[in-house]
Amino acid sequence: MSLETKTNLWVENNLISLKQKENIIAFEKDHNKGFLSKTALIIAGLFIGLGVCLMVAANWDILPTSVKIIADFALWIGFAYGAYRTFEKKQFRLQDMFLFLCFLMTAATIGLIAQTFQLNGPWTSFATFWALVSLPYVLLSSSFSLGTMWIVVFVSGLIGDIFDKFLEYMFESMAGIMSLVLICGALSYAFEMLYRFIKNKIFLLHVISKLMLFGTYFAFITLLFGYALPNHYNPHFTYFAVLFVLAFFVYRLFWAFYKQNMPSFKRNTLMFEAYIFFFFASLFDNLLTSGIGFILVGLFILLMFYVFQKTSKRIQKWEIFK
Amino acid sequence: MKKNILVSILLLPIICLACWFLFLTCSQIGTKEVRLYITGYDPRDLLAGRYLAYQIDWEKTDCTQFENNICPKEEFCKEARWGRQCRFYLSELNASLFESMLRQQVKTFEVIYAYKKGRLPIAKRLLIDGEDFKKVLKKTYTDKKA
Repeated sequence: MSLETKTNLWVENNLISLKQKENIIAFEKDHNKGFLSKTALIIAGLFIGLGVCLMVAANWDILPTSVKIIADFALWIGFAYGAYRTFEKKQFRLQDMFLFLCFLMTAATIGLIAQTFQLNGPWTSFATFWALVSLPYVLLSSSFSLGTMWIVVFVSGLIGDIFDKFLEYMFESMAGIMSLVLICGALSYAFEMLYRFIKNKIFLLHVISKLMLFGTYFAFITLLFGYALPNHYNPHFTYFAVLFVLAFFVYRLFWAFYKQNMPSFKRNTLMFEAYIFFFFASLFDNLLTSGIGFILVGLFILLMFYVFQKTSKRIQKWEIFK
Repeated sequence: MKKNILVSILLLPIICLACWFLFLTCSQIGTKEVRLYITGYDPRDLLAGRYLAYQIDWEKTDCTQFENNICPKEEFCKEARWGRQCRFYLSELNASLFESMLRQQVKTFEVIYAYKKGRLPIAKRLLIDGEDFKKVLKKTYTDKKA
């Protein structure tokens, strides 16, 4: 239910006055200010960071290892400097993007060092090390996306093997996915209740609850649109299914935007990002070209963002871009 | 937040990984090189084809390279999963080529390790029929062009 509808209902039932309704809407609009631009920057950061990680994973031998190591650390220091400058200038949106890039650079650097010294190890060791080393960036950031990603990495490092087997088992059948939807839904509700019970004191519970909600949503989407990801597990992949998923998200985003339902807009944006990411990931063949492609997409988003910010006063006037 | 604290927090992870890199570089200095024969292994991994998955062939390996002429089997590929499978990371463009060569067992594959008792052995070079794999790769491409 959108905020407008909700507050109208409250006014009709004499729960709040008309003045209070206007105050609530004004507060919420102010609170969600800049959400879209922040999301665009985080997505750009995600694409650029993942592109660097993919290029490292490709282990391209055009350049000698020493040059790759120096370039990697130089890039990382550059991002850290970017974060520092944005901290000083209080550009919070850009600051989150740079911290996000630093977080991903940590993973890329661990991967590069592991490749250089031919270190063998499971995902769990890598994830735990990544989570611990990158913790300072997460503590400095106010980004929900970064916090969520860090928790996923950290938890997968701790219980990755068990979780992997559990997911493989659950995704094997329709009944398994349906059970997953119910389990995630129940856990999301339980964690949210616990969060409220302790009077919102531990924010992490709220994050876990939201993660579980995304899990529910994602499992539900997998259940409905399982045919929309091209990979060897899915021989019946059809382009119609992809179009259907895209149309579904466009419809959900448009409806959320039209109804000014910001929670729904945020949820669907994140799900849309996840879908695009998995779609790209399922198409990976050559990591180097995919990495370059990711970086170019990220840079393109940044360029578009810059152009929108600088040139179009009309667009700037749109509520959602403010 | 104070400027110094902010800079320290931002640089801490970078310094941490730079120290790790230096530690691994230094730990290779002054270590003995040992030459081990390897055989192929089914990687069963999503990233398969982007590295060379192998097992050490202890039967062919010369154990006189080690102390008391005993091969320290437990010290190699400790971290590897699924039956002590080791990895040698190669460029994704060449990994599948070497992987199939290793499986066909037509050529002899060896890995040179930097080894010191009690320390993590570090794989340094891959040899194919006694030659560095980069030279073999160059030859393969030159032959193909010709």
